[in-house]
Amino acid sequence: MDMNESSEKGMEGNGSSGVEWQSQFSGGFSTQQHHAHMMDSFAAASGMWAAPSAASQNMSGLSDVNGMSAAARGAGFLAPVPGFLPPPGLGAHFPVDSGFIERAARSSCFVGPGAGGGMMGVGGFGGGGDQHMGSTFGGGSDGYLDHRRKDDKAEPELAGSGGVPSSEAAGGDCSSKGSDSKKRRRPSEVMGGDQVQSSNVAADSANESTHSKDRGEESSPPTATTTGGRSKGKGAKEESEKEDYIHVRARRGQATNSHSLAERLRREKISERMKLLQDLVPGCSKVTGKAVMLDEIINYVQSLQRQVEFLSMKLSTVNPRLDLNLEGLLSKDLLRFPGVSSSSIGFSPEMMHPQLQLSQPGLMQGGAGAMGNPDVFRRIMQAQLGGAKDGSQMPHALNGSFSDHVAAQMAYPSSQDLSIRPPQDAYQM
Amino acid sequence: MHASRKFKRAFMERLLQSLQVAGLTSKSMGLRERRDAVRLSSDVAMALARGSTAPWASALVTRHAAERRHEALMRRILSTAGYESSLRAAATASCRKEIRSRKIVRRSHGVCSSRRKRRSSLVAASGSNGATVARRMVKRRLQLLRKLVPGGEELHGFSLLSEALDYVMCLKTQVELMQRLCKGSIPAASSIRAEAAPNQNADI
Repeated sequence: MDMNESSEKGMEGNGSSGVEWQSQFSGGFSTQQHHAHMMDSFAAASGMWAAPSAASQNMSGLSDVNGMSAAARGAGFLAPVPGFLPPPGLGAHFPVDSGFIERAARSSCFVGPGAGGGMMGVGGFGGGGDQHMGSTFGGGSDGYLDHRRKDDKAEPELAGSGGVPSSEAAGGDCSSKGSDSKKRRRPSEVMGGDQVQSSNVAADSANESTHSKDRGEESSPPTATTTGGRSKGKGAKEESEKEDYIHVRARRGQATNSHSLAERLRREKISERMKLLQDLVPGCSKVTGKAVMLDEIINYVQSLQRQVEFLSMKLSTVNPRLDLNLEGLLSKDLLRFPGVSSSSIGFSPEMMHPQLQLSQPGLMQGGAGAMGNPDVFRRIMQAQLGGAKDGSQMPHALNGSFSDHVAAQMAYPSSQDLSIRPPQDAYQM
Repeated sequence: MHASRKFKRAFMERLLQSLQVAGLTSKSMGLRERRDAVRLSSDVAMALARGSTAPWASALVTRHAAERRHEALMRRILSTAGYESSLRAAATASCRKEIRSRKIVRRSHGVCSSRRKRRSSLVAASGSNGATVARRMVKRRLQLLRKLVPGGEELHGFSLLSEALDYVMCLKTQVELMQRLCKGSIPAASSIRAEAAPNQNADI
């Protein structure tokens, strides 16, 4: 990528740190996202999905740099960016970063984890178009979005590719926000505030842009594009391309005071959550708008709760004494293993036989695996039965249970919509 | 997007444990009681498997623990899981009072909001701005969501949505696991009955 090449040029004399810096752009994107993500309090909330361990190592490296960015408001999230400019006296980009910290401190800084992560992400993409880079703020938050989404999908490439369309969408969003002020909550405020802010920003950036321009000119144009593209501003949009600051600016047509930036951060976090929920709730891909989405979510939650009640009723009738026998336990346990492909096969009766045949070897493999189960199952099972007749009972029970499985699935048309048992059910994260 | 295998396994473990406990405890003949016992044990299992990192889990456990009828069962389940402290904390009378008062507040809130709705509907007709109407719709739905998600009463905005996300994920796995249990525990010999039973259930 262009960015990487220029960064290489920039830090020839710097050994490991340069490598580290470069790795941030090329491969370290994921780690960047990871530890930026760690800073977020919701990392704990969604900790049950893919908690990266590499993040902790990076965090310790950031502690000293935090002092630099201490002046920045809410500084914790800024750390990811300066975190990779270790001791001073490094390449061309690092003074830029310190300038960035100053700027961020001075201006109303949007300090989202997306800022650092998004910057990295934007730099990492390198060859995006100018308008793509132009939506830096969107890029920043979308970097955050990306590593949120990545937690769920655990694919850096996906986050990478997801960042591109999402930041483009944000770019489109930027322009639309500038033009269509009708829907904004504080349209007049936005326009007025932005005028004031952009003039301030221009005045502030005047002296800084000069010395950054020198550095900008010495590096290749793509660098200027990428880094300049990172900064944004409404009136100063043209200037921003010449500047190579990595600082946060308001999107085109939006105010730059802290409140609105924080508001925007909040709103984008919320919309990001809505997107996640959209993925979770089936049949919500086409739906746009918060109200309808929330409607769908509410319906889904209610239906799931009703299903739970219904299933509990069913369980209580099927097992009058609520004792669970070995076959039930084992079959359910085996269903979890990847070897069993029953759920991926259709529900028609003529498929039942191949299904059973296919599942049998899978079951045997799974059965072997099930023996290595946690001891709790063993304890429970031993509590339940003598356990002498397992071998003979098992295949028959599993046969029967699979036929029941098929029959029950045919009788549960509604449940199939909601509690989808997709093939990847067996291949969990 | 599916929950992690570890979560599912932990959940299933706890579910089996608690179901076993429930089976021992409630020799009650009533279908409803049994169903409540199963549901309770399943909910508690889910909440415990999720851990206390998620606020909805603790709220769910608290909600169940505060109901008097479930106290015996809850005690057993939580004692096997080793959560004596949370059990004691949840079962205190103050907690019950809190939950009762919260219900009262909720009801009164509903009354007030209905009154407000009547008044505001007159106002809204005049100020039929698209944005405000949309905002009101969103607000109403957020309130509904708060009611649905356990422990979501005090949450706002982003935290509410993330809690809801988590909760939906866990509900999905709960449904999955319970379905598996159902199918797994249907006795093999009665395949005909098993085919008949889903038909009956479909009628219900």
